Amino acid sequence: MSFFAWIGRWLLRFWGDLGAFALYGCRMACGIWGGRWGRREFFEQLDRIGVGSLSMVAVTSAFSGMVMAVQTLDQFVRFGATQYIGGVIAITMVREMSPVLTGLVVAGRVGAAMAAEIGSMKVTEQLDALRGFGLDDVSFVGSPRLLASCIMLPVLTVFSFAISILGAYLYVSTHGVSAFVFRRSVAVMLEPLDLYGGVTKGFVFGLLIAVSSCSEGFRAETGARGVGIATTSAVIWSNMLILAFNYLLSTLFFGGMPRGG
Amino acid sequence: MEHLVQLQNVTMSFGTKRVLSGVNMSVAPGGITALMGASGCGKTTVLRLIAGLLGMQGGTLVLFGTHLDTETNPEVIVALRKRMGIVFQSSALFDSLTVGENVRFPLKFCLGITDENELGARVERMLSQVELEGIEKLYPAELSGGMRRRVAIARALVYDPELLLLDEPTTGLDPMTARHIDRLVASLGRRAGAGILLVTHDLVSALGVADTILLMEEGQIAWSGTPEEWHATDDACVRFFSKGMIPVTKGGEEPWNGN
Repeated sequence: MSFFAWIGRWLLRFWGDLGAFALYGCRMACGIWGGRWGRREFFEQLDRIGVGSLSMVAVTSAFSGMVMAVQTLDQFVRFGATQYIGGVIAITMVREMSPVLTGLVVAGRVGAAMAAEIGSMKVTEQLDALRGFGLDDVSFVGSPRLLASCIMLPVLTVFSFAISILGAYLYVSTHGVSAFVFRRSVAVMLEPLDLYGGVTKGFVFGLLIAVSSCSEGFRAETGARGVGIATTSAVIWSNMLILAFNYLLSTLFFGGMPRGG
Repeated sequence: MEHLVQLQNVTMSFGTKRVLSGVNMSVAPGGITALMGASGCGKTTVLRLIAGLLGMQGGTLVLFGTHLDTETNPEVIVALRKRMGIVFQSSALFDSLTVGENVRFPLKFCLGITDENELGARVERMLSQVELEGIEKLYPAELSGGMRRRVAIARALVYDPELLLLDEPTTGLDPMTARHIDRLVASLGRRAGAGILLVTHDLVSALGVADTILLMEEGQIAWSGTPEEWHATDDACVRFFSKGMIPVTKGGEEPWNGN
């Protein structure tokens, strides 16, 4: 196969996948309002996505906050600007690190599970059984996952932000930066738009994770191998979409924005 | 007597592979029709077409008196699905639900029953009919293969469907359990008055419970008749299928040779 043929096939598959995500995403979103799905399933997904991810998000965020502090403290001390360190770390975490880290953690943990679970349901004819009962399998299975993911990702993002700031404070407080200075710089430098942008990113990442992961599950080929491929694809697509949309949303919310304070 | 299901010259292909080449058959109300044939001959495709899980490509399907073809509105098919129960080859019980919740699922989502007392009573009665009392709280993973099939039959019959579709209900079961499933299907189906389409390659099962037997070969109905006629016929396809031998086509070639 020639190089150009390979590129052509890859591009066709790439756009085909994105098209499938759009179609499944629309069906799942429409299903939230018009479809039939179990309330219990929705609460279970809230628990799995939210409560189930708390520990991983906490550990990731705490260490990320501490690493941010390790990397920045020396530079701020050198330039005599330690009064800004809390604010700079807070802005970085709330705008970029917390939503992206939370998204990547949830994509790896929950997105993979969604794709595997739905793929297994397809292989074992459970999705066919739903259709046999006159239900729309995509909205019945996908809609509660989409809704739960869109609700829990912003919540986890805020949680991640709080834990990362705590982690950063724990480090700088042992290196001569007072709690008052740290807290004041956070209060002065952090603006409502930063928090709004971070939470919006969380919402969009939740949507992307649920749509790409559920779609891969629904499109899984038969057999254990098909479920495995769907799971891998779900994680890859979720991560790629999170990073790409993070850039777009950062440009939209914060691109070229002059800072006050 | 109007048939529950009638297929007229139905064709189906997957890619370039022709699976059904003009199937003509029917299922009568209150009777058991067994659709038999070798693996890969298109039996399950017929069942999935009737169940609306595959779209029509050619021919006509008359389901409960409604003509379905490639132009039929999907909502019509969805409404018709609620009048039939399906038992899948893998049982297709919902892993995340208990046995009781699996059986009450169609009552809630197909019939819209919300009264907990009624749901509980109907589930209990149905499970007792398949001789599985007291397992409502178990999950499907905790059941044996035979128990899973019986729960699947209970789930399919709990909302009194007019048509019951069974896809290989005895595959993978030991002979005693398989005959038990046969007896349950026959007794419960007849008691409910449902027409039953039994897709199987289990000859003992088909001859034991069916009123009509259809033999599929290469995407077509090659023979049809009663079990008595099956025993009496000299038809080459029937004889070869009964003895597990490969039939020889008119051209002298073995049709499955090398496939």
